Amino acid sequence: MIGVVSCGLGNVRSILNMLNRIGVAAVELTDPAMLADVERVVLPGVGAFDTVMANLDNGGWVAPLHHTAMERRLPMLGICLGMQVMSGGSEEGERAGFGWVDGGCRRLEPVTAGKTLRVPHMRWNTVTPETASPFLDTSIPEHKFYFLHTYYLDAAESGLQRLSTDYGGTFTSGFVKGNLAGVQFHPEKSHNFGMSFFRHFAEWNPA
Amino acid sequence: MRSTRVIPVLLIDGEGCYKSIRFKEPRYIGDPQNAIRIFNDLGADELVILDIGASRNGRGVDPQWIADLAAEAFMPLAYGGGIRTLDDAAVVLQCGVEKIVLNSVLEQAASLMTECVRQYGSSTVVAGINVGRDWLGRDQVHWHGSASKSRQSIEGLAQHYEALGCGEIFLQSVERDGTMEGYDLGLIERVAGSVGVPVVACGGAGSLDDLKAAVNAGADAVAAGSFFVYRGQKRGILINYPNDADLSSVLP
Repeated sequence: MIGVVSCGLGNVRSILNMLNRIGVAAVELTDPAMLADVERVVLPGVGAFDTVMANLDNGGWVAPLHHTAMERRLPMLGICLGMQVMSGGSEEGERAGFGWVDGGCRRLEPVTAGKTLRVPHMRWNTVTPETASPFLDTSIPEHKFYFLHTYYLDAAESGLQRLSTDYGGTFTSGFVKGNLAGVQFHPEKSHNFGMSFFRHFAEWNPA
Repeated sequence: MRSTRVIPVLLIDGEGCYKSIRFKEPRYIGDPQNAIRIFNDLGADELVILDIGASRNGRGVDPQWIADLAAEAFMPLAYGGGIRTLDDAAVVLQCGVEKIVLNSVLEQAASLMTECVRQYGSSTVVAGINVGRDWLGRDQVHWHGSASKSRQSIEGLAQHYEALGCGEIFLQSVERDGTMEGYDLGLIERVAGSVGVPVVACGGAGSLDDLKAAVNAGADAVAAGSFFVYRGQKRGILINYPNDADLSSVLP
């Protein structure tokens, strides 16, 4: 059973619908106590870093999610802001993130051929695995997903299996670190690509 | 990868989807949730849902309904129709919609654009302009469906909206709507040439070549209703969307 954290900010319904569509059992987690009954967790997030952390804090999610990620070591997927809060913090805000990944989030400053590109990065874009990804089907020649963000994960640590995307410069659009995974894009808004992605996440056995 | 966005437009009135010709003679197409599911399966880049009854009937936004539609869409969604206040905008965005389209409200209250941009950012706010022609062939803006019309420079209006901060212009040709005879390329060229924000062209698409012509005329994205909803001379209803390979072979 996949639990989708519902703290007021994130496309929870779309995620549940997509999981339902691909036949994967999923439930909306409206209370941290519900984490006890699931085997995998999705942490969505949209909006601003501090607002998401504040919502998680106010909802009593911080310690239970920390326990789930670091002690129970359940497979956990952060989407968009959900990925960003796994880091130490963001230029966007003042609050600390969970710190499960060393590094923080920086504002995109995309430049191509001397021209500054629009921010936020709001479009479909290609995602390239730097090493084999447990979530991207190798039979699909090009992986595209929908992005909508202004900040990106700037994590220097070498232990990450990364996905990268080019938008006026390359940035890390996804990572895997042990039982933790994060994606900057929105699989729930990436139709067929998203469904394939979630199918893989549902079966992922982190080493 | 292809950067041109190809966007189906669903017109909703009450609980059904409709398709018009020149903004008239609405024909029932089917259930919107079903249409959305089909566009999910066919991999549409984005979807625009416009509540065409809202403005005409003075109806506002129905959050439950919009949330149900947004939950079905596995691609980004833009929603317009009846958004008259900042609260309406908030309600719509909280339903899981990525962008709002402001149109008729701007006739009297263009300041709503500014407020929405300040609160949500430019990328979230789309300015819709419906363009017709008067009997002398001069540009007219159609408001509230086509209930009121004003003769004015479309380029000027687009520039005004750009100055107010809109993220893109959704440019609909009333004349070409539903005809499947090609986009109004002259209109697209004039408007795209006068603003820096992306222009989404709508009205008249009947073939992949039409989409290509619109992009060549300056459109950043191409939207269509009939093209994705009808098939054949007799306009049988068949919700369709070209595959990525076909689109990428024709569009940049």
